[in-house]
Amino acid sequence: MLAEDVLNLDELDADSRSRVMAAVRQDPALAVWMRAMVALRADLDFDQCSPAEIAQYVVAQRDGAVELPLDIRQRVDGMRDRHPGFGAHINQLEADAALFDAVWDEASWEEPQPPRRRRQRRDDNLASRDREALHRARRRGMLIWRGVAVLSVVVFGLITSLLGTREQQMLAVTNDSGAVQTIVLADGSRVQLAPGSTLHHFGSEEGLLAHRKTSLSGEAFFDVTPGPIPFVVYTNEGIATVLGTSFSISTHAGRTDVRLLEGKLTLAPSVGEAITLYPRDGAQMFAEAPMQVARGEIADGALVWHGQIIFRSTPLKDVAQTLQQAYGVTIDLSERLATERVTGTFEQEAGVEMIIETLAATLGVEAVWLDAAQVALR
Amino acid sequence: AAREERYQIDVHPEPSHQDPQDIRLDVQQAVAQLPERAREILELKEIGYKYQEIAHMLGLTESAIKMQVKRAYERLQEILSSTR
Repeated sequence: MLAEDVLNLDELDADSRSRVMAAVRQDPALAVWMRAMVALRADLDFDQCSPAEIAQYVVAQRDGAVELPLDIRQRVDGMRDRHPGFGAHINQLEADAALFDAVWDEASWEEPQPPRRRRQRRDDNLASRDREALHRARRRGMLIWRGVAVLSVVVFGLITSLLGTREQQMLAVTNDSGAVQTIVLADGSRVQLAPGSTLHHFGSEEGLLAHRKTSLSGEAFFDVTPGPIPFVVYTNEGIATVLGTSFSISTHAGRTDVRLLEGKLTLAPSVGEAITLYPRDGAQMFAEAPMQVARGEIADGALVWHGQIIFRSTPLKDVAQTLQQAYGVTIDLSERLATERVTGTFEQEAGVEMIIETLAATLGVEAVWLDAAQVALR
Repeated sequence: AAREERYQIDVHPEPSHQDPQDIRLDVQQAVAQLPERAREILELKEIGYKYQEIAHMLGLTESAIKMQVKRAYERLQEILSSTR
């Protein structure tokens, strides 16, 4: 059924997707259905409850002693009222959290071990029905946040530290899931961690000891919440310091690559003087050679990272240019639209039609397809 | 990957809003008129759940869920053609 295919567009392969989009272009009824789906998605997005806030809400629902800021409670409750699907989603998260607690209570405290082994032991203590439900929850990839694999004791500590009951928190995450995982830190900063990478984060707001420190081995893309406390990333070849910005870091043997999308970043390499990077700059730091800086390396303000195309405050005309080069689709923009700035993350596999329909819905304009390779935004 | 990463978009603050396109308003209003169960399923799909998971969450079979989607599609067409 084609209407269902439109719903499943993300999961189709490229050929099937082309077939469905061709049908959408020819059938006005299907086109309307696609716009309805995009509108639904936009509605869910723009009510603005961040994953960290949803996590706080869920924990507060389960533990009456935990304080939840009224603003967050009102926003999440508002979303539950307006969106029946969101309400069911919250109920599911609460059920997942209950299951997580059950696992926790069942297990006895032991010396820290590699996460996989610890998880196995806890699973053995569960009844088979609970074990199946936990398995489903893990396959969804998260117990509290969407898309974060709960990998260690310390991650759970992060949840309570979100609520300010801990003085310091140390987060250690290794991504062995085979896909990019998102981590939300206590200050709301988001880190996308590539498969096989390890991140340690140590944050504290205790007066003079205030810091946000991260060490990375592997690859990650950071969206750092702006704030007075510097956010510092340590790698073997150097140290990057930001106050709030979006950038990627990738470590290799003897070399660390940094690419900055938005904001300002100070790089202190192990060899040579510190420098400042500006948006679209890239740099390579070496263990035993001076740093190399490539100003304006990120063409068109789009960072292609692990199957994603990432824009941060990028003018729409540059977004159009990137999509044109990546997909061969020409996008017609009015002068006014060309200077609109867009922040977004797209999966390359999503297909250009979906990306453009979503952009159009966001901007409150219509995407008029003139043919398979040309579209105008009005 | 998580849904947020697929389609998270923010447009940077633009104080003046243009009027919504007529077509888009029709679609949004029509979606709002769908039965609550249908909206629930469509939203769960958009949040990122698979059909099998939705079926389990709502205590229905996977085919019942797909039937609801089909009916929602038909209902949407009904609503939109009757307003023209």
